[in-house]
Amino acid sequence: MRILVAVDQNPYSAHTVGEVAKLAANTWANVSLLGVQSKRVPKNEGSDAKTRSWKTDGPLPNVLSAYRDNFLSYFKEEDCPYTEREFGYKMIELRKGLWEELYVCKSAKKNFRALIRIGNPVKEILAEAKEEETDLIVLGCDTSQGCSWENNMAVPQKVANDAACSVLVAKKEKKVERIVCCLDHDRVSQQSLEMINQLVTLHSAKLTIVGFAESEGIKTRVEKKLDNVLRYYHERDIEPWIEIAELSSLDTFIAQEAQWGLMALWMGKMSILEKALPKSKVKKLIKGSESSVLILR
Amino acid sequence: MSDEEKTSILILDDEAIVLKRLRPALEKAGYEVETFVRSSDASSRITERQFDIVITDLKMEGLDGMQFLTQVKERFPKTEVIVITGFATMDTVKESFQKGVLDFLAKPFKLGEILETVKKAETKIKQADDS
Repeated sequence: MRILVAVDQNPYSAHTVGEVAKLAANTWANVSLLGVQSKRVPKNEGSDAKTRSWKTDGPLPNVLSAYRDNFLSYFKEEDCPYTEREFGYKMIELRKGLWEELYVCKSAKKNFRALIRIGNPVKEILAEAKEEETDLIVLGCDTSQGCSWENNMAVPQKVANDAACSVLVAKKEKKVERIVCCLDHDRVSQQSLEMINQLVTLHSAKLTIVGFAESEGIKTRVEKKLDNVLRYYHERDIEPWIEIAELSSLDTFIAQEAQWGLMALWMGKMSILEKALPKSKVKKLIKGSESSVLILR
Repeated sequence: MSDEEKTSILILDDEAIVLKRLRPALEKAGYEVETFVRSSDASSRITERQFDIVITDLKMEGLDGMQFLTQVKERFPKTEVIVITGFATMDTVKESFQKGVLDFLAKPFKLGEILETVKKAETKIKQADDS
């Protein structure tokens, strides 16, 4: 699994890094910690050109270093897949038939990178995710400011809407006791079920699977299809609670259920929820939800 | 393993959809692949022949992946084992490495990630053969 953690300099990002460290300790995921140096000048800093310049010892690199140390502190040294400890000579094949003994640092079992990109945060986060074939983007947000990032930018909402992969917007207020997972019974991807499984395992959380029927008449058909999902979980010793809701009451349903710690929505291409939830509604949901929100793709 | 022989891979996962995705990708990359949905069948197969690389899921009915990889490593210590799992925990990671697996991949993963890991296993086997 490849996880991209997008961070800024606010405390919610520190919390998010901690949450990802717990997930990484279970999964040994390859993790990239990404800070984006925005070209936009904060209003309170004036338009002095110096504020635009990039410094390797500036606040963002410093905070990124602190996040890196915090992330690695979740691992016992002997169990950490991200640290490189052994130096020595090793025969390396330079090209077919030519080997050279080189002094190398044996690579860590998994990759952990801390990097900074310069530009528009949303564009840079999405570009990094695409280049690295990320499976999951994770971001925190300031809930007191309506889930915004620095400079009041709606970065989490935009990333959640436009990413090609799954996106988790982590909110620190709620402990994840139950994961409410709204699935499209017809087309849910294997990758999405796997992502849910890892999070259920991580949080030892209860799982509620919700299917949506477009009308009362097709409830039975949806129930039948959700049986397959139920069987999938039974075979894996997970006993989810199954619910069926009407698509017409989607907004109310999500608002009610978004209190359990984690709301997951399967929004892959051609899914019911992709059609029923336009970008503006997803933004509103992420902004207003007390729970963390996971957009599955 | 000579240069002419294809690297052989056994994949065990109780989800057919995973095998359906992995098999063609690995065959396309030039590997000889056998897939198994039931651990008992995979377990019998390793009594008949050695594989260079074994890719196994952990959580399965009957003989689970941890027991299966233990059998593999006991019988063929040089076989490189890669664990893939949808229910990763710190304990399963630790136990897997104690049993000598080469790598541990949590699902979901992209095909590129597993191909990279298989390549790593192949290089290790080649280096062991050459030394």
